Amino acid sequence: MSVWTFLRRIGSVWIAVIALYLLSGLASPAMLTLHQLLNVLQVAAFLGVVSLGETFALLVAGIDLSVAGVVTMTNILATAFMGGHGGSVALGVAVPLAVAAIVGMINGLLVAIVGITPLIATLGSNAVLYGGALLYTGGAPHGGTQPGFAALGQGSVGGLPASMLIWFAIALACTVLLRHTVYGRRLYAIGANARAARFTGIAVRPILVSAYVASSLLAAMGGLLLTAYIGQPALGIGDQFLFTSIAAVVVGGTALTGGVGGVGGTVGGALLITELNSITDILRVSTGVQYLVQGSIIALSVLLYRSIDRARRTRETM
Amino acid sequence: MNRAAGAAVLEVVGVSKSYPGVRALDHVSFAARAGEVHGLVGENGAGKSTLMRILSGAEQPDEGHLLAFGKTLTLADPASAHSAGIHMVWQDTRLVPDLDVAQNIALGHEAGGRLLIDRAAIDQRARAALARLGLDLDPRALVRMLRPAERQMVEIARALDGEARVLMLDEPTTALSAVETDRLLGILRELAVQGAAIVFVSHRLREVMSVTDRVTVMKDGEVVTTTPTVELAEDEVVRLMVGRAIADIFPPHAAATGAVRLELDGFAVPGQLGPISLNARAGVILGIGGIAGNGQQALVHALFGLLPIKGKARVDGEQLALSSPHAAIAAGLVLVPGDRRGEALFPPHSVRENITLPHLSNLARGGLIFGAIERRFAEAAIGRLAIRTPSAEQPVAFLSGGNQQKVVLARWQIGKPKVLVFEEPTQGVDVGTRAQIYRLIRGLAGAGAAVILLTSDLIELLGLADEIVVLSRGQIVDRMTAAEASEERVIGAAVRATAAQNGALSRERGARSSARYLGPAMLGGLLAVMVGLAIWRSPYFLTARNLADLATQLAPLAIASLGQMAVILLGGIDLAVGPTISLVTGIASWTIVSNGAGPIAAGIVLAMAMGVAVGGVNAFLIVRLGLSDLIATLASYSFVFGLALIVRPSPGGEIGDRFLNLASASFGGIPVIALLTLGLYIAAECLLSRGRIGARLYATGSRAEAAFAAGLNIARIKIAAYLFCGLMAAIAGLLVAAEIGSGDPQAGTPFTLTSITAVVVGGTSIFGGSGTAIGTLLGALLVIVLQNVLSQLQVSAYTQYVWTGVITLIAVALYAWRGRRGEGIA
Repeated sequence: MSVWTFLRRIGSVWIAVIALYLLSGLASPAMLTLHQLLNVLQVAAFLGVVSLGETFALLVAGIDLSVAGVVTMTNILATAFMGGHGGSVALGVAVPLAVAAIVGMINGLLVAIVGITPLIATLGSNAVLYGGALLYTGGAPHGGTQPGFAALGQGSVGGLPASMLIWFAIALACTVLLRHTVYGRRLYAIGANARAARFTGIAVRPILVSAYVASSLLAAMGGLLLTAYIGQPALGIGDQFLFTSIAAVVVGGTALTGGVGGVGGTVGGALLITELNSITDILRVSTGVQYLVQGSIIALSVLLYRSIDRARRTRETM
Repeated sequence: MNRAAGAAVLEVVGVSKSYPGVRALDHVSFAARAGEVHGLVGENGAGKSTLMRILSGAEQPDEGHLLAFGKTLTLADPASAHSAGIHMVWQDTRLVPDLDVAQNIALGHEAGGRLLIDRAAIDQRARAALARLGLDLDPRALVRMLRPAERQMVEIARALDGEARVLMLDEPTTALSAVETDRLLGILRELAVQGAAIVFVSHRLREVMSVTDRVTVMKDGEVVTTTPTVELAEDEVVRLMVGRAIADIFPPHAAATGAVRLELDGFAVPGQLGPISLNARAGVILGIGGIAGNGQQALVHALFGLLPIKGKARVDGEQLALSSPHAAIAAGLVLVPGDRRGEALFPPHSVRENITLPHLSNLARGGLIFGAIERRFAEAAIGRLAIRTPSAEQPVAFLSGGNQQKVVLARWQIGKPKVLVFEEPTQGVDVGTRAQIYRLIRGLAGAGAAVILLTSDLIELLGLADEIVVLSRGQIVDRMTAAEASEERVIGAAVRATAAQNGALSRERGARSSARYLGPAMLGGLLAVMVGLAIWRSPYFLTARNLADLATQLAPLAIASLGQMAVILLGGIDLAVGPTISLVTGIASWTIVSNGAGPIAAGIVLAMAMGVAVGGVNAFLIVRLGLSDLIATLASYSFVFGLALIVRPSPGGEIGDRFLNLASASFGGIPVIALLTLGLYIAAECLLSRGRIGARLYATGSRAEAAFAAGLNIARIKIAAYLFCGLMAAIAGLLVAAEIGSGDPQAGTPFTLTSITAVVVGGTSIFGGSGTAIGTLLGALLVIVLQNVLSQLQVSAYTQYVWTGVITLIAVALYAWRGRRGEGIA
């Protein structure tokens, strides 16, 4: 992707992020304080990390609807292994990550080897995960977190929220991985044209599988941060991410058709969605309105990016 | 007919057409006269195909206009071209693979009434059309099972079936044998005598010279000349097409030949190629000729590990593994594919990224790419090949065809490949750039590579190749040097050998359209076994009460699934089904609270209107705004779910008893709702299998561009499917509301997945184009029976999520597996 497209695509979401932030200041001047800004960033980190994972799936022209199930599963397992006396933070972190890796592997194999469309494959595994969480807890989950672990979600380092720092660090690592490594460039190539990638000598299937593993693993990391923040198990906690993760990525300029977009836009997209939700909170509108707004935002942003691309195309060819 | 012979039936006046980066037609004028066969010739990219697309109504000119009998003619879409009497035969055949031969011939103008079509009449007419071409094909044979030559003939039969005043044929003979070609040319002459205007587009000048009355030569989007055929000699036509002497375009042939680099020994692809033995030597361009579909592509794909092979292939004496393109490239074998957009380019990525992709490992350390080195590397290649681009960062999609091809060449010029295979290297490339590409190919050979050239352009084959082998039915039927080669010898060898096979294959292949109920029958068997087990394990299962429960539970899922199926048949999906059901329960819980007939009717109408509105929003986003169905219905999922939460933030409300009684009424012990559902499904199955709407749904879902070319209004069909899906979801929502007696913003949530489960388990392809209503009903029944049985076995209700997910994945996996067999490349 050219620098120009890169700036253009990623620029528009950041302009929207800043405009919306200033606008929210009009609704509630308290929003403009540093304290409130850090608050938004702290909370945005959960969606931020989950949608970084979703970016991998969309970049390879796929989609991952199972992130919702992975987040719920992570929350249940982490609190179960950490809660009470003798709970282990190490197990509480390792078990969800291991389960997520397996889920991502299965998604990837279903898509890359068996040839199931990503939508159906991940919708199916999302249902299995949700059912699994219900069965595991019998519908009444119990457990908790350890104080040291909770600091990841609630604490701060040098005045900056720990969750935000972790989010930015992961985002930076993903940027390097996707933009500056051979692996990342091959992943983009597969997303833009899988058949051409294969004809160019790239081993397509392992990279496809790896994208779904990355998506699941990052969803689990987001789930761990969220668990650290709320400190307790909650069935269905991941459901909100089903749409918001895709909305964040799409709003951030990553194309559903694959191979276009990236991490910088997704970070902005996650911020934008979180801002929207906090504004709707300030205005005391119901969750129903939040869903309404999210649905509209998804459709509108796809339309916006398409018209930007078209305008540029007609200008630069001929 | 009192039309004067020679009247211009169709005229093109000063038509221009541009695409991004290309001026495809530049003030083209052209006239087709009644009673004549008009040849239209030109090299690849001369503008013939664009002109055909405009005359078929598929695209509109930027400038200029069309005249029919001197009056202005506007062709807004293929349907208006059909009604103007203009029929097309496309080279890449616009047939629907999932329909049978007769349905394809009749597509868009099926005999029969408003609702149902007359199958017998359709078969009869197809037989007549096929017989006219001397073709003995089963009208019920599925098109996807036919050989390329048979498909071509079916396409021609379809064009002849209509009342064609103008018949345009694009390379109709490339897949045909000599006998078939002769018969076709005879029919074309006969049609012309009867008063039709025939436009014959072909690369085969011998045929053009023999069958046409006049010839129009095109070059670079312009008409060079239109002349009576008798006044032109064949080599004169070639000179006009190319625009200069052949010697100026093609570099000289190889002076000396080097050592053998690629050696094929008993090399075969079962069913498609060989066994053949072949050597390609350093410095030599080896051309592969013959009729398309006779093993040329199989040879290339096999060399790149995309097809299973027998025999041996060696490069520089070393055995090739041939397991994947990766292995081939590692061994020094490189392919420049013919389908540039589909197999070579990464359109949204920059020129730099397109060039360096296979060489990144050499430009990186520890996986990290050195940006500056990569840029220099790409810029050097751009300079070396004189690629015209504003910068190395320009997306390759914005370049012209010729420059795109240079980008692909730049990619493979690096790293000294040992064997280079070029497939149609100048397709869509302008003449100027073409000469440069020929010099580049010659240069690569001169630098010591063995070059293999696959091309359908005879001028290119004869001009560039130093040695030519002709393939027919996967065998080498002739070998010649450039000095010995001629157009006659190449075509002659290919056509003579192909003649022998005439029509032998088609009868062995079994797949007919009557195999429709095979899948549902198997699913029915599975269900019977399950029910048997249930009866054996649980005496309660067969009680009247339980059966009535089953029927009541089945109805909402079955109805929602029928709507979902209409959308999936078109290759789409509707994720908003679940929230729509939730929203409707909420609406019902506010409107249907009293027992008056008025409020009940109003509530039902409002709910259904809401369903249609959701469908309308989906249709608007998908059809009018062009969003993908996934993102559109994901957005509307969120939107409708939000509405449902606003209407009923939490479960509540009480729906009136009268409505509940209405919904649970029974007739002879059977719930009325179940009877209505069954009736709905029987009607749907009839309409799908022999109705007009069924033919349209299957055609559009199987191959939208073919349905469009046949004159179907695809947009309207899609809109109808989404509206229907919304309506069905609303009805299902009313039934759910009756079941739970209140409104619940989560009541519909499981239906998004379970409706998809029922449809795919019922055998409908997730890619669209095939499936039955009966199968979907059985799929829904399977879900409900499983739920029922498991709850009787005291299995936790939570498992429902797990097994619906699992059986969906298994069903889709099985169909994906079945569908992929025989296709080879994922």
